[in-house]
Amino acid sequence: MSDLERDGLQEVRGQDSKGLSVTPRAKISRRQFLTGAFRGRDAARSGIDGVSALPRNLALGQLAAHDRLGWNGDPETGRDFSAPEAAAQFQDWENEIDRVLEEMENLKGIEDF
Amino acid sequence: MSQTRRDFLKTAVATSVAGSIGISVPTRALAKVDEWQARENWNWDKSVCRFCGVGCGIMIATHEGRIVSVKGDPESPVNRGLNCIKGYFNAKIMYGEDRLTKPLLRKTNGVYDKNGKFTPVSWDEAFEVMAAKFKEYYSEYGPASVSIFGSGQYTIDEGYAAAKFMKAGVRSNNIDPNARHCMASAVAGFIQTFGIDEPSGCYDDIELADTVISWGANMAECHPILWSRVTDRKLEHESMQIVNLSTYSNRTSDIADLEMIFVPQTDLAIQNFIARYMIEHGGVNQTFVDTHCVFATGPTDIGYGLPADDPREQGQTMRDKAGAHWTIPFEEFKQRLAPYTAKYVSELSGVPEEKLIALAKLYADPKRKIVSFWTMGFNQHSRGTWVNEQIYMIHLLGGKISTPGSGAFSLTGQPSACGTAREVGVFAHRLPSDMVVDNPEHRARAEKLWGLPPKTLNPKVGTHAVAMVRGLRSGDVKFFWAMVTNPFQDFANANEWIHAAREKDNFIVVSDCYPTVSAKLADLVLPVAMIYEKWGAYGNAERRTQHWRQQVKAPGDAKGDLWQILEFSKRFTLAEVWNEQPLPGLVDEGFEAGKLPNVLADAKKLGYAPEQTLYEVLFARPEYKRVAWPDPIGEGRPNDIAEDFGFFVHKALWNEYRQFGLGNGHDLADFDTYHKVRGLRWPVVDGRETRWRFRGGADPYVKPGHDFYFYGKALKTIPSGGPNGEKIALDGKAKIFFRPYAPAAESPDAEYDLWLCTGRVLEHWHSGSMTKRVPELDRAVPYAKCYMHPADAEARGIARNEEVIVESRRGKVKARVETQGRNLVPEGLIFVPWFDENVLINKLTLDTTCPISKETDYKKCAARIRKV
Repeated sequence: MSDLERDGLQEVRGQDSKGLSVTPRAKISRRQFLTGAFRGRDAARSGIDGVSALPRNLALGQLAAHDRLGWNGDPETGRDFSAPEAAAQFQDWENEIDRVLEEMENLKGIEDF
Repeated sequence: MSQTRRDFLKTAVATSVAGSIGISVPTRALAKVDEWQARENWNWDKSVCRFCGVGCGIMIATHEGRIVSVKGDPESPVNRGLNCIKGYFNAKIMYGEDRLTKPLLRKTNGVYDKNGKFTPVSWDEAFEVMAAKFKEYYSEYGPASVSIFGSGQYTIDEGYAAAKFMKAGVRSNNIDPNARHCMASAVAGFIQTFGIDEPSGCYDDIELADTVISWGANMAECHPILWSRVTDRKLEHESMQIVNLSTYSNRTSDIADLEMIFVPQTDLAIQNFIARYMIEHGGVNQTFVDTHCVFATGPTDIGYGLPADDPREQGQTMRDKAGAHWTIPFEEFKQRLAPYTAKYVSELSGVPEEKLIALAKLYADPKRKIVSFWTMGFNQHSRGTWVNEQIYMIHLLGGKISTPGSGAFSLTGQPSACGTAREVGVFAHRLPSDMVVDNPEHRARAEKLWGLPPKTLNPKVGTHAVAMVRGLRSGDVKFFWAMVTNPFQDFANANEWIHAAREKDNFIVVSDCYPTVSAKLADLVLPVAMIYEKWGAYGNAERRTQHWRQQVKAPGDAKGDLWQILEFSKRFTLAEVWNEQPLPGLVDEGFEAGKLPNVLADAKKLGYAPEQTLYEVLFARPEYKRVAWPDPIGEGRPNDIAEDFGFFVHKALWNEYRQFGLGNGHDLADFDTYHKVRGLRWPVVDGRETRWRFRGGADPYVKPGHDFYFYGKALKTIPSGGPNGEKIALDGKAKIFFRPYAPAAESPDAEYDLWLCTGRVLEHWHSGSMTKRVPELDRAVPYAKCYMHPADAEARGIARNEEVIVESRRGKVKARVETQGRNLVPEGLIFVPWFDENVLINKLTLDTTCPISKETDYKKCAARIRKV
């Protein structure tokens, strides 16, 4: 089980109003999406704790030096989201051969029903 | 609580990525990540994502011989630290419980039997049986009876070695990649228009454009990191316009200013309307067109790439010369566009006239910088080459190409469709660096670089992918080796090939990491090392070549595809393959009809002995063996292949391969350089990469004094004025093609009343063999749904989530109906993703191809739905 699972992913998934949950796409219109996005941009432009978005320098080699999301500005580090492999349970593959052989004989989806 | 800019952005990215699969990010998980980051004894190294063609950089942490973490590479110019949801699970795909770790051979009573049960065997026994079957067919039927079905997920060295083994070793051109299904139409479009393959622009165009138009490409799901760049640009520039053209509404429409849902196949007509509008409304850059372009067209009765006895092929007199073309005057070009009025195209496509005009105005605006993106909607099309050519038509008319912020950009689906399949030449007709097997000068150059006797290389184009499986059915193809791909789930009309694999006299080898559909249908399964269990290199869609080092060892007896090719090549002597070989249908100057000559005498002059193996002659050449391992560039990293073969195989192959491109417009840097940088976009000349090809000042191959120069050499001498006109040379010019609208090979009718379109989802890669084994991704999208319009469902009495039978003239599957969600399809069309082996949708699709590119149309066939 990964750390995400240990953190109760399934439980949290249903709690739309908590933490960093995201509204399901089906419930947001394009206008709502853009409104929210532009609000974020405007907030960034007004400067919140150093967040800024300055006019771009379009000269070659100076492309958009101050873009948001750090596109051509500061790159992001890798804390973004997850490193779930840290919790991966590594398989004892040598003992899995029987299971593999059983799966090799499973023709579900291949044979016509 | 105060928030730093970095925290703000990280949270935004985390939320964005999680949101893409509909999950929340627990704050405790983020805190946990910080804890992991703090581990000082983890060994981080740069690498590359192994999924789509975007080519994102990732960082991989290893500890005690295991991968313990993956994150976006902040230094990568492609993704700057971002990953999509698949990207974060790059390593976890390697740790599925049913990983294949031993060769498996079908046996009965201890010996090979096509109808036997899979039995674990040693590598020696696997290769012994495999070589015996290969030689049995080869000696009786010749080089045309054996084949390799390769991949755009081959690393560059794997593809290079496989192509060299087949073409230079056993003298068969029957090697073709799954990229044939993916971007062969893009290749044909590039070659026909520019005389050289691959995009002129690069991803930097996104940050410079003020219009992005997506044609038949659901970038939000299929190229998510590039789409995040487009979104970012949109959010920064109110004037930025985004248009999504598709046959159904998808996530890419979420930020589009203009969405155009058109009837399948009518994109050609829409393109012609745009060109007509540009000419009528002053949208043509006349100076650019007069200086750098010619107008051209070709035959129209070219068929649908179906077998010759198919009724749809009758009367198609130019089906064998589909790629022929000739120049025409501008007035003729204009005249041929005349029927494509807004009214006519609106009726044909179902797109309102005002939307068509709004789109055309964007292209016709001389001040607007436009990037057009496309992928499978164009490429997987029975007129795939034409529809690629027509997007260049639009951009060339407006002079909006090879210019910062303006260009026509063919996205690729696979991580090395460009770097391996195209640049290496893992196609039935190609050699490295855009050379082709039916050109004697190209063969001579390849023979020289490979140290081969003259006439070793086979001049007859081999069987392309679809012809390969048709050959299994007809019995012409006897030996079939699939590598880094899952053909029996991938190919359209899959039932035909599934039966052919199991019921015909043939030998099917599948190199795979899990028990896939193809592995289960094989006679011999070879367990492979996966992406970070080997050294490798990929080339992405913007011509960026990126290398990585091996991080961990493969489990059990699994071995990399390169290792398998080299080991297999040890089983062949020159006397077995460089003697005279039958080749039915061969007619070529300098060759006896129907035969490849014996080249052993000339081989002796080069110092080769008949008893030498292909391994010794092709791969263990003296100059190879001088490339020593250990090497400082690999310090602290494993290199299983170098340990096994006694020299730095990857570096030696690279040293040889790059010779093909030097001075040929495909210049690559040296091996070590790529391990010090985050990739370089070729041509790399004097240490500098190239961002905009064909553009003066940006491309070293453009002659001084030229603002643009389309220097590609292929197909640049063509008839003038008509098919029988005098041939003229088009040095430095690009071609603006006229191509007419043509109906699809199969359309809905009274019996099968729905269009069936297939494609991808964000969370799964291709046939799902890897991503379905990642619990997080599997839970996010556990099975393929049949997306359907609510009115169509209601008319059939079908409720949402109800299981139904989806069927075509070729096969049927069961699937659950979805009338909501991420894909909102129009009435009369259903969309079913192809990642799910339990919903094997390619049993239904039709194996029609573009007659020029031979790429299958997976986007259009007729189907129906009934209740279970």
